[in-house]
Amino acid sequence: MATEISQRDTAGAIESRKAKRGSLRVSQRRFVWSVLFPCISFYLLFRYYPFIEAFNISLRKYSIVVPDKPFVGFENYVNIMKSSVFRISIGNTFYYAIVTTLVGLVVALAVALMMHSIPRLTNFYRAIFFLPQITNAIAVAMVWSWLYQPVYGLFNQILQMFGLPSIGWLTSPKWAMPSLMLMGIWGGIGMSIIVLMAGLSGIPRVYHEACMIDGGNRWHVFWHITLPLLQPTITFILVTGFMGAFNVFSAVFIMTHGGPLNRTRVLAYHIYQRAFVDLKMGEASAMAFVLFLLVLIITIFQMRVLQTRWEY
Amino acid sequence: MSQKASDRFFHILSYFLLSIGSIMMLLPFYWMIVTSIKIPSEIIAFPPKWIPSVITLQNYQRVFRDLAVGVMYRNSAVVAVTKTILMVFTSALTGYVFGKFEFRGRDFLFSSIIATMIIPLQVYMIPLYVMMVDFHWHNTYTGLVIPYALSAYAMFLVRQWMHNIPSELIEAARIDGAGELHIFVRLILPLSQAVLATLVIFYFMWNWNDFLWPLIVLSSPQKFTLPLGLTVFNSEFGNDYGATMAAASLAVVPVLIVFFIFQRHIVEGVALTGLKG
Repeated sequence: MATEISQRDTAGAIESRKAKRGSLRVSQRRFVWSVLFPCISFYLLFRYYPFIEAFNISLRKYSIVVPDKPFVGFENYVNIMKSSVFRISIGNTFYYAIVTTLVGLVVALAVALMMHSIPRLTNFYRAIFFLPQITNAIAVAMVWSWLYQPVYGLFNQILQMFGLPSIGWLTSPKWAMPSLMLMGIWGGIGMSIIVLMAGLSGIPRVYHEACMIDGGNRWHVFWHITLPLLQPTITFILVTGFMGAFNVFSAVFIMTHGGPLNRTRVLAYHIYQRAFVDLKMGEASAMAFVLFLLVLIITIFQMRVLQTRWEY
Repeated sequence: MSQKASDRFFHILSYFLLSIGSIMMLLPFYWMIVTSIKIPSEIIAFPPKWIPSVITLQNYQRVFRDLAVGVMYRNSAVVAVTKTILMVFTSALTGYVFGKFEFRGRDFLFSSIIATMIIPLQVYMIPLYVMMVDFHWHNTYTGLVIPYALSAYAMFLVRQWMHNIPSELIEAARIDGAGELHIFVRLILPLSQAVLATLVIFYFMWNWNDFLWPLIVLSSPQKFTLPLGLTVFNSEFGNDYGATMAAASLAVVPVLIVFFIFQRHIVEGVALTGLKG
């Protein structure tokens, strides 16, 4: 909060100086454009051009190994809309992203509140919960594949020790997606915890005390003070977390290959497979554009929510 | 119950739950390392052997025989270091220009660059790959690094940081006759140390773990980075659990050590910039 205010002040100072200053001097202009020219070229060449070209590809029957790339109009789009696998993968992507983001947030919030309240060992716990963040995603997926292994895997062995039936963690259509979600939540909460704790330490202690003096209990404090004041932090976690989960790829690539029965086939994986394994690049580009539209709509929606000011 | 007693009860409950949580967080790491030093019969033993009775290095020998661990470490290091230095340097430059200069079309240009952040890689990866083939950059580190030499997100964070540097300082340096490049190197870079250090740590981590673009661009195994090498190893020896866990340990443990050295820096960096992987 404090930095925001000081930033606004500086911005104000810049505004007033803008009026005084005329245009840039020659040396400054030369510096600015010698930085901007490569920068603009970079974004035109490596982002905007491929983006437009991707749309062009999506209107063609396109394979990198076949020189002839006939224009087919919106045929690819029509085909993917008819494809049940594509529809399933969209559903899976939303399912995965929504569950991991929401459950992850609730768990992270509970952990952050506890870490914030204890007098000692906060740094120690925080480091432990952060560990998966810095760990290679491929290595993590290999380790979890071993934990989930149907016969010798640790999880089923523990179930067996308690006389419970084994679970086909990654092999049964019912459990494969929840298993990936569990791993995703385990891997993602560390970052949310740290961001939440930064938000928590920004809430003045006196607010809590005032509420306690007024006869509120812990629950009141949480519900009426902490949660509303954490609103911007929570929105931030939801937005970034959802986008990250929406593009989940390596876990599926290593652990399930989209199976069983396409239950874990998410968009990012499906597009990769169609483009670089099946070499149906026109179709893959059409799917990628649908993915882009979805991301765009979600982003606009989330920006709206972000801009909504909560009343305290 | 008095306030004090309630506090104490809540603290004890918190420590208890946090300890259980920590055990669950550490369990996969523990099981990875323990499996990697077990003999085959103990790897699949029931009930699970929490502490191996014999310690063996045969799984590691297996990995070193079939996976060029050293080469992959070197490849990953070369790629991650180059990419990180490039990204952070270009972000510092562009962030400074957008934060501290007034020029026509600035806001339009800035938003056009920020807008590229919402395009998922899946959308432009196919044309970008075709471009790499046309440039003869496929299966080269040039093709791996150059399309990621700039980062809109890092540029955005540096521009935000520029609010903390008073424009009067820059103006004063100009009056003293300092050239623009000189001001950037001698004034802006040192004053931006905090944000640049955070960017270095995070972009290094992300670049070190980067997977999809290397998977598309690189094709010859001797150029593979660590994540790609692990993938190949896993698809060939996926059923040799001791060996796969040894390979995973080799990839993970050095990073964990680095993390514990820089732990405070990394955690404060997240709070500082609100970074999210």
